[in-house]
Amino acid sequence: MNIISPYQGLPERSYWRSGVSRQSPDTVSDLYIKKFSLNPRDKIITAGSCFAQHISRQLRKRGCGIVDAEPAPPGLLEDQGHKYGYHLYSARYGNIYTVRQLLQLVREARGKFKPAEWIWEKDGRFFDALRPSVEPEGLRSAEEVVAHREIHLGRVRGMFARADVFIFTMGLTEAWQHRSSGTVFPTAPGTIAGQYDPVEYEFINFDYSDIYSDFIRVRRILKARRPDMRFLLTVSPVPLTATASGDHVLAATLYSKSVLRAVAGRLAQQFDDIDYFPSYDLIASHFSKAAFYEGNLRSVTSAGVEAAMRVFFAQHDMGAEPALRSTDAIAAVPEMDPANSLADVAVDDADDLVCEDALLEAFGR
Amino acid sequence: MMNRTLLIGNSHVVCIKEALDRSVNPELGPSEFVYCPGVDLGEMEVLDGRLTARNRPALMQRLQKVGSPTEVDLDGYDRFVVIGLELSLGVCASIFSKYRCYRHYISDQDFDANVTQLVSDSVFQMALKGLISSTGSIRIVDRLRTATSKPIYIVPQPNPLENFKTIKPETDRQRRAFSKWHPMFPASITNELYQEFCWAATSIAKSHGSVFTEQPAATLNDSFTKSKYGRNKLGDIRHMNAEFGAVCLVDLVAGIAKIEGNHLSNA
Repeated sequence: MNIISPYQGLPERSYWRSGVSRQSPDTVSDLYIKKFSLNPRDKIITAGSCFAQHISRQLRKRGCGIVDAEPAPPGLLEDQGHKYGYHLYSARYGNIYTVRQLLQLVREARGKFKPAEWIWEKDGRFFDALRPSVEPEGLRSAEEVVAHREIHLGRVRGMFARADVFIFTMGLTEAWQHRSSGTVFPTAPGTIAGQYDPVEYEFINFDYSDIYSDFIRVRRILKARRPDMRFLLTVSPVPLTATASGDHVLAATLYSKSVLRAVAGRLAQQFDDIDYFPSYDLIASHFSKAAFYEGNLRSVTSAGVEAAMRVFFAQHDMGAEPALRSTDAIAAVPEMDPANSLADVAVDDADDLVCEDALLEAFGR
Repeated sequence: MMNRTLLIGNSHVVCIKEALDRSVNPELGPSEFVYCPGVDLGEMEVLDGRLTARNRPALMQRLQKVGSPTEVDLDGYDRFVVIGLELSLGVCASIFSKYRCYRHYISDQDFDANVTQLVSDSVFQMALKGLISSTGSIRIVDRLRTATSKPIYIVPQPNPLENFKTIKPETDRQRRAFSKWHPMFPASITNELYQEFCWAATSIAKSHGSVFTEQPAATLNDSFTKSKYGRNKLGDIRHMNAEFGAVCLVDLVAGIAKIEGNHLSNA
């Protein structure tokens, strides 16, 4: 009886030499094999750390049905909108770095969680500490922050209630939390606003079991309302700016990303409705020899994003290349009917015939 | 001294033309018009020092249809007045119908979180300036500025007539307009937003090298145009009569004199 090695006869992607050494990260084609298909009619929602913005933008450019539950007002330029948290994700929750933060948001939107000490003040302006980046100058009063958050949560609730696919990018394991309540914040108190008080706040570095169980809870809550919801997980390849763990930032980064990668991998193995897209693996591993990072070895280059999305779209055929589409084709599925720029303004002037008659009369024709 | 004025605009030039025809304010001097209904005039280009529609056949046709010049030499004029072309309080209504600041949120019983979003003051003001910047009026100003350094004045479309608040909308178009403007009807809100609009329009006009002239205060009642200035066409709450044009001309000429000095009567 011939004993055949279990490694014999595997596809080329299974071997390092043919799958990596002889491949280029710019052209590798079978790094990712989708677990389920995305339907062009799917309502896709996005959230996560800042790398998720790239994915969201690329999907929009391809005409995917990215939900925009909080569209920007007409007249706001794209850059201005981004500065205020519009069009980055499917709602204005800003960066959601940790799965605990996501769990909080999901529970808060359902009225099952009340954050503590979440309004921070700086120079007389007030910030929503759970998404401080969306109003960079803060708001006039704490009451205004409360009102904004109530409206925001309503939109988030509606967004989750309609989503078919949830793309979430895991960013960090490290966070700061309010000691007595366990409320987790996306930034350390004192960074954008607020004040760091070690009696009130503490550093936390979530481990594998925390993150895994948090995501299980997120999934359970969301699927209770949307049983067919599918999840597509990625891990952000962007290293930590700083660590409070006491470790060297390189070691802390590798630890953090490794844990996240392990959780994402485990979840994808365990559930049919969770897929893992290996953008992190492509960009951050030595396969790409750091070619997809800027000089600071932290920011991901546009070539890196393009390489990752090429791998993604090789599996999920969502239509034409971005360059082939006009900006008009950039699609978003608004949860509300936004006032449509000047097209809406011009409605009052649509009755050209009346105007034409008046002009003809006045100018004597 | 040559002292000619070119007035460029959509149907809102009519009331001013009618006022000029009645010699209400001859100080403006010789005036000529380029006009076209709607917003198409914003597509005109400036080529070789001439405001022209020569590369826009559809626009050319529309201009010819209403008897407007299709090309003018900008050197022949001492100042330019851009009228209407979407620049109106309507830009505020477009934003406000769906986006409110907190100060309006607490006072507005109709606030519906499923339809209306809260925005910060900063975002509201940026959006307002953005919409004003994209009007045909500012587009024309930008093009004129590529070829001339002479003064450019912007006259906005008049605010809707005050009876807009009481008429019952009957057509789809009227219902759309009513629905857009309705949240602004309380006088305190209209007045506040009108001030914001004027402030933003002044700022944008200045940054584009022009001067924004506000609708004469005497024509307004709580920031809506007094009914007596309407053209009396059934359901038309946007177009004003010659009497309105005359008041605007007086204000415009006074504004020009203030900026250019008192040489207007040299015409």
